[in-house]
Amino acid sequence: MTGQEAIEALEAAFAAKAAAGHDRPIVGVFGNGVPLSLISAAGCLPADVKSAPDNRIFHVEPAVSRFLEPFLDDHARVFLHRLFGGDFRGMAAIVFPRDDAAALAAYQYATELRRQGLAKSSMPRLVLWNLVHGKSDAIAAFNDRQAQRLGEELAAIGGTAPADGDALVRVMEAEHARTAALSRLETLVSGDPPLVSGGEAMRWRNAGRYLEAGRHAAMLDAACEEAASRQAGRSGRRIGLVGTALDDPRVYGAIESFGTIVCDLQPFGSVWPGPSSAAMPDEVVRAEAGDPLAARARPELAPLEALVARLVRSRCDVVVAQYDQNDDTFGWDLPGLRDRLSAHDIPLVDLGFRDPRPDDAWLHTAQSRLAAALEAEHA
Amino acid sequence: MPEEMTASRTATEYQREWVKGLRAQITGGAQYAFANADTPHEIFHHMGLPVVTNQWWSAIISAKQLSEHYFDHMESLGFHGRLARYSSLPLIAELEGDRERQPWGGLPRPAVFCARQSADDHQKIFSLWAERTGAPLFLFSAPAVPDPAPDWWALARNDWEHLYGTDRLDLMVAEMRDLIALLEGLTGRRFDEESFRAYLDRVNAQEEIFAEASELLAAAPRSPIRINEQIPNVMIPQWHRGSDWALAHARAFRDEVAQRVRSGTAACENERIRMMWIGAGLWFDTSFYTAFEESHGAVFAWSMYLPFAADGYIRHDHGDPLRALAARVVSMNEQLHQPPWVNSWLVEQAKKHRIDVALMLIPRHDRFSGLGSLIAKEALEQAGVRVIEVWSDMVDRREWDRDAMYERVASELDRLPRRSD
Repeated sequence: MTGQEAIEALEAAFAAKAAAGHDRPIVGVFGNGVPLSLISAAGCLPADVKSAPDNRIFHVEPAVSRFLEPFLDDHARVFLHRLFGGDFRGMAAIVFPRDDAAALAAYQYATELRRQGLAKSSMPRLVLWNLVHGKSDAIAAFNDRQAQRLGEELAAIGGTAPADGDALVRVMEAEHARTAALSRLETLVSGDPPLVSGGEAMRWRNAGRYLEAGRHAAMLDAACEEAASRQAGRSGRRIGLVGTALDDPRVYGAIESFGTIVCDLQPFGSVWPGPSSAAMPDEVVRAEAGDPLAARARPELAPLEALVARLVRSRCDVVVAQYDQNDDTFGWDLPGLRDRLSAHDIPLVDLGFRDPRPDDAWLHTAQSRLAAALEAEHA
Repeated sequence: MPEEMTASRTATEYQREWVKGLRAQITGGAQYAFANADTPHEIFHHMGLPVVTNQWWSAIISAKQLSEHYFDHMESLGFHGRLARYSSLPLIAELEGDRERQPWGGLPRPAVFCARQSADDHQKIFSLWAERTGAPLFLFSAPAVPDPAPDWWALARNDWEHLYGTDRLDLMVAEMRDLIALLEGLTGRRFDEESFRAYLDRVNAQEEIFAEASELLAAAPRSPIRINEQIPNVMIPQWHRGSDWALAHARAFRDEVAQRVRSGTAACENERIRMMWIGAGLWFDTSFYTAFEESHGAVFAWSMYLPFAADGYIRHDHGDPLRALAARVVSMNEQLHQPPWVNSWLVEQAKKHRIDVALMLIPRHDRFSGLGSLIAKEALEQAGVRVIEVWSDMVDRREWDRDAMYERVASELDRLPRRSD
C-alpha cells in the first residue's frame, strides 16, 4: 500500500464509520474509556458507535422520539435513533463506558426501551463497562472485577474468555505498534512547521476506531511516510483544541484557517485510544483507570493540570474551546482553564455552544471570534 | 381549611432553634462538613460533625429570593448559562464573594467537603469549592448498576446485596472506611462501630414510621394534609435522622396523620382531583402547591420525600451496618432519576395514592435530575395518569412565569372528566 493509498483508505474508513471485516464478532464501543485490547484479545473486533456517518446523523426513529429529552447528549440521541433503527444489527454486543459523558444515558435508555419492547428486531447484547477513573486500591479491585465481567460478556457472544495471557500479549503488540504510529502522527502535526493538519490527524486517528490495531498502525505508518515528504509545512498559529466530543471536519477546517491544531485534547482528539494502548498487558486496566483526561477523572488524577501541561508542552499560541448544546460538565472547567493558560500567556477563545454539525453561520461566527482574539493579542 | 398540624409547628420551631445553634456553632469556629444530600451523613452525625447539606443550603438561598442575582453573576464569572443550578447555587454565592448578601453572612470554611460522583458535574462543583477554600474534598465513586431491577423498592430493604451488586458495595464500604479515617484525623474522635449499629437501627425505625405514615396517606379517602406540610415534617427529621428528637417527631407526625384520617379531615374539602408533584421542591414558590384547591378541588396528595424516606432509606443490616449504610447511599439519587427505577417507582406510587394528575418538574439545565423524565411520563400515562410537564428549575426563578403555568395547569384540569362523588 503506497502512502497515498493509505491516506485514502484512512479517509474512507473515517467517513464510512463502519467496522471492516466480519470474520469475528464485532463489538460496538460507545466512546472512550474501554481498553480495546481486552475486546481484541477475546477474538472480537471493536468498532465505535458514538460517532455517526453523515448520512445517519439526522436519522429519526419515530418509536423512540417521544422518550428523548431535548437536553439528552447529542451523541446519545443520535445513537438511540440508530440503534432502534437497526443500524447495529450486525454487531454481537455494544460496550458502554460508564465514564464517557453520554454513554451511561445511552445505555440506560437503550436497555429500558428494549425492556419495554420497542426494538423491532434483535439487538446486540448491551454491556456496561463500569471502570472508575481513580487510583485507590479499592478502585483497582473494583476495576479488576469489571474486566472479569467484560470477559464473561464477550465469551457469551462467542469470544474467547477470559482473555488468555498469550492473546493479550499478541494484541498489545499491535496496540503498541499503533501507539508508535500515532506518536509519529503527533510529531508531524505538532512539528515546526506542522506537516499534517489537525483535521487530517483527527480523521486518520479516528479511522482506527473501525480497524484492527495492527492494520491501523500499518496504514498510519504509510500515511505518515507520505506526509513527511511534503515539501511545504503549514503556516499560521499553533492552536490547541479542548471541549466536548467533536468529530466534524468542517469545524476543524474553520479553526485551521488560522493555523494548525497541534494539540487536540477533546474526546475525538489525541486522548484516544487512551493510555491502556501503551501499557504492558497486565497493566491495561490500571493504565486506563489512571487517565487524567477521562471525562470523569477523579480529582487525584489532576485532570485540569494534565490538560494545561499538554497544551503548554505543545507550544500552543492559542487554545480554542467549544462544547455541545447540552454541556453540563466541561463548562465548569472553563474559567479555571482560562486562568491557568493565562499564566502561560496563552489566550483561550471560547466558541461557545455548537450543534453536532454546525451550520455555515456558526462556522463564520467561530472564525470571526478567533480572528478578533488573535488580532487583540497581536495589538 | 384545616389548621396547621401541631407536628408542622414543632418541626419548624425545632429547625429554627437547631439552625440558630448550628449557625452559632460554625460561625464560632466549630468544625462542620459541607456535603451533598446523597452522601452518608450518618457517618458525620455519628462522629459528631455537623453537616450543612448543599441542597438544603441551596433551597435556603433560593427561598431568600437571591438565586436570580447569583445566576446572573454566574455567567460573569465565566461559567456558561446551561450548567446545573440546584447543586451549584451555594458555590456561586461563595464565588460571588459578598458575604453580607448571603444567608448567615456566608458559610465559614468547612472542615471537609463530601460529594458522590452520581452526576458528572458534582466533582467539578465541589473541586472548585475545595480549591477556593483549601478544605479537603472527599469524593465517593459512583459506578452504575449494570442490570437494574425495575421494582427496586421491593428488594432494597433486604435483598440489597443482589440489587446493588457486591462489587459496588465493596467499593462503597472501602471508601466509607477511608472517610471514617479522614474524620477521625480531623476530629480526634474514634468511630465506634457498636454504637453506630444502634444508631442505624434508630434510623431504620424512623423510616419505618414514615412508611406507616405514607401508607396512611395513600389509603385515606381524601388527603388529610398538604405536601407543604408533608415535606418539612419529613425532611427536617431526615436531616436529624436517628436522633431522639427525629424518632419522636416521626411518631408524632404519623399519629397526627392517623388522627386526621380517622376524623375525616381533608386538606381540601372539595377534593376532586389528586395530584402528585414529581421532582424536588419548587423552592422559590411553594405556594404553587395550593393554587388549584379552590378553583378545581385539586390537591397535591404526593411528593417524593415521604415515600422515599421508606423505600430509599430502610436497609436491614444483616449483621453489617456499614454495608447496609452503603446500600442506602450507593444508588440513592439514581433511584429517583434513572430508568427503569424512576418510571417503575412513580407508577407504583401513583397507583397506590390514586393519582389523577402528575406535575413533573423537568429542569432543562440539570441533566442528572431531568433525564428519564419522558420515559417516566410515558409510563404514568400508560397507567392512566395525566402528566403535565413543568419545565423549570428548582431554585432558578428567572424563567418561572407563575401566571402562565397556572393557566396551563388549570386548562388541563378543566379537561379532566369530573369524578362522581
